[in-house]
Amino acid sequence: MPDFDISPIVDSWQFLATGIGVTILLSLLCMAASLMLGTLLGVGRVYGPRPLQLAITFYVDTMRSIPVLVVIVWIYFAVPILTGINFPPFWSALIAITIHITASIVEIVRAGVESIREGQCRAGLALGMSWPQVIMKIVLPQAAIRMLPAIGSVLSVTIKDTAIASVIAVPEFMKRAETVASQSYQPMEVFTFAILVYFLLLFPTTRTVDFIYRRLSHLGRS
Amino acid sequence: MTDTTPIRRAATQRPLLEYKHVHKAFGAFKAIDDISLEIYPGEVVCFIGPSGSGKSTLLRGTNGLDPFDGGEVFFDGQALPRKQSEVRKVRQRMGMVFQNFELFPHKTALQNVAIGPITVLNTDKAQAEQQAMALLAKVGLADKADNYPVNLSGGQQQRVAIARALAMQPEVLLFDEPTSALDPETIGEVLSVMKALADEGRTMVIVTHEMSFARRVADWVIVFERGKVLEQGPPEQIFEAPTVGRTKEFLGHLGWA
Ligand SMILES: Nc1ncnc2c1ncn2[C@@H]1O[C@H](COP(=O)(O)OP(=O)(O)O)[C@@H](O)[C@H]1O
Ligand SMILES: [Mg+2]
Repeated sequence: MPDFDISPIVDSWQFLATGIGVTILLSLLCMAASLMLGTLLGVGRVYGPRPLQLAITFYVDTMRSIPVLVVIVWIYFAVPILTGINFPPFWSALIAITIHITASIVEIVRAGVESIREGQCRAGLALGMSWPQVIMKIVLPQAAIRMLPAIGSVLSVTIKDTAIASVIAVPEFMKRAETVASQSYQPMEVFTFAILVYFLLLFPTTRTVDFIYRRLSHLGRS
Repeated sequence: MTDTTPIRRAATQRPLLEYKHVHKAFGAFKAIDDISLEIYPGEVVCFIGPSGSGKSTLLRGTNGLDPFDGGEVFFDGQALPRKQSEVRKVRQRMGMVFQNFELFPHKTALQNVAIGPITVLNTDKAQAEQQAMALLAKVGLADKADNYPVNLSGGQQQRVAIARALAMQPEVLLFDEPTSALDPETIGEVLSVMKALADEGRTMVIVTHEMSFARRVADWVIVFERGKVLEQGPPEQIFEAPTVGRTKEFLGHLGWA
């Protein structure tokens, strides 16, 4: 058993901590953007006109068959050549992961919305509500509760996906861990630490979502 | 066959609801087959008839939730508009109570009752909740205002649903088998709330299999069969001396002596 020397981690703690900050920031921004876009597109997928439904389905199916790594490198390396627009690494990763994660959210929202009994919509319409009001006040709040467990697992996928952004040198935690590992020649210590960090980020997150769901689930049953 | 000669007390006024030759088909199946009817202000009208005879379809056509294929419904003298934005305005004036209650599970009893006025009429929240509280008291559930539907019995949920409909101050209440999903022991509490509404002189259209309730509370009873009106008349006639043999048959099946 080799010695376990944590001095490179201690020496670079600020460098690594900033990386964790970037990982968290990138995850949160991706998640927020994906939730907004995914909800919009998910609602469009169910209630929108036929051509819109088809377009959204095409997008979802496409994204499901492309690895997120490919989307990231494509946005970062190919888009500037195609359009002349250059996104900095952080923005490229944000856009790519959001495009990718949104596709999952669309499917979750679609399933959530479709699981709400038709009678719930009828009840809202019978009161004189418009369809947008029915969707906003009745369908989505209930669907959101039912969607929580699935959203929770997408959230953890999102956090994990941000590590892939290291390939385009986004200064997130994985990239910084790699830097420290190669400079100190102690990959075993540094990457073990990385595993620990990701676990400590993800485990409480999924637990918290789970906890919230258990507290709210009865309000989503109709 | 549709003999309207027996005394219909309310029939001196203009009908509040009038169906003129409405019909609706599902594929080749005629769920509503050329029905013409009137509902007068202040009347309690019960729709009875075997299941599948088109009662729910007629009710859902009344407020345009499932529009008819042809014919017209007139509400307060106006043809029901086809446009979503316009039919909404008419729906606001009609209350609907469903077999499965359809309370909103993510809202408390009070919020369920207040949501209509708040979203549709832009009523101030405090005022809407105050009014909702009064309506819950009226259906005997003031103490359950903060309960979520999941924590209410079926009978209580249906009473909240009635209060929710009342909150819009509707000119007519449409009930689609309001007690069919209830345990026998809670049917009575819902029927007595409905009886109290009838006694207030509200216009009510009730699809029901509760024959003794219909006999006691209805001003007018309409019997449906296969998308058509089989017979209509005052409850005394329908229940004691039906003029159509198949009405007698239907009532016999339900154990009505
Ligand atoms: N959405 C629908 N699609 C196909 N058939 C329907 C639909 N709604 C109702 N029907 C049919 O129309 C007939 C009348 O239904 P309904 O109005 O619910 O009858 P009732 O309320 O008198 O029991 C039934 O035979 C039913 O199967
Ligand atoms: Mg029915």
